[in-house]
Amino acid sequence: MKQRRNRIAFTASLLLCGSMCSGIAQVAPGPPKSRVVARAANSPLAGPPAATSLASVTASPSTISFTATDPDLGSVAGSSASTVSWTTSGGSSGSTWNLKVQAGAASFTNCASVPTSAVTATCSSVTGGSSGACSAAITLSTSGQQVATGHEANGGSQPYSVKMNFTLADSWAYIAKTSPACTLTLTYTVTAP
Amino acid sequence: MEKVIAIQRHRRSWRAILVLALFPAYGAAATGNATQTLSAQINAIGKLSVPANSTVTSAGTTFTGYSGSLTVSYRARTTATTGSGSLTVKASADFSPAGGPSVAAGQLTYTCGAATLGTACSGMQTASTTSQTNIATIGSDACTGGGGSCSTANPNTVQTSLALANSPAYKTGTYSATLTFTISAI
Repeated sequence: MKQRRNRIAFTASLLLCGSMCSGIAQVAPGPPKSRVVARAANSPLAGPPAATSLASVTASPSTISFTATDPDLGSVAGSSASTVSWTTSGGSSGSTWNLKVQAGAASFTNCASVPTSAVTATCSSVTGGSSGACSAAITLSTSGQQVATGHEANGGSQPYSVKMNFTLADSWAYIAKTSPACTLTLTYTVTAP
Repeated sequence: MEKVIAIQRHRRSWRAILVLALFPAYGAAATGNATQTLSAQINAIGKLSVPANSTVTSAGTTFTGYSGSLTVSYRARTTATTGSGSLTVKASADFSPAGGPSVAAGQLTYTCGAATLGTACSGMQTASTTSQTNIATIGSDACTGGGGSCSTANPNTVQTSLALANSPAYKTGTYSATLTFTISAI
């Protein structure tokens, strides 16, 4: 009977592994699934902190526009600031989150003469968690570049947001295009341990 | 008794293996993505500059014509596929004081050298006080300094050679006219 109980406990442990190993933490459109992670704090075998769950990663507004009318003016500000928001569950104040941004192409769609590097992204504020900090302004590229970082908040459903501003360096070297407009898709990636 | 102890040791080693197998999953990072679109409208535009003053002179004393040159510097970008541009000149004020040469009489002409962006005027052009006359035309997909279908030069230039008639009927003196240069880009 005791041996059978031990076998059940072992099987339960394997099932736990199956769910955790494959699930890790994912962004789900719906409410985050609750998960219980037991950790023996005093055990010499205690491992690293449990993974944080991320949810509801959004970038608003969906489109930011630039109207370049005179290259001699230098640069053009975007139509509005961008706000990237998300929530974490199961976060730990000892863990660090990172936000990166990368462009989908080396130049704007419909406007090959306008390089992605003409856009400068400047993080202006970070809210949520602790010790949130903006990175220095970056020129966009197809590689992921860090925008902001900070420490997670403890507990469930903790909100974060990073506000950014974009400018487009205007140039006489661009061929004019108004319709269809030149577009560039940005992908923001939030990483939490 | 000895047999029981052996079984317990065996169980401990299973626990150790299980814990080690779980650790990689605990250490995996969570990632989430969001996308956003940047949209840019690049408007067509052109700008030019010319010297504030240009002087035409006559080399001889036998009423040979006056001549001089004037370089127009410009930058332009035109719309892809459908765009165009132009550089033109018009005399906004004829020579003054009276008694000298006259633009209105068709006495000021010019020719164009090569343009570094677009196509310069061809043949002799007669300046006018009533209408714009051509210096250069620019096609679609043009821009300054971009290479490719654009010019690598920045700024672009086109030189005009001015010619003004000379006549014994002109009173001696210094005469001046105002020329207005215009660039357009769509």
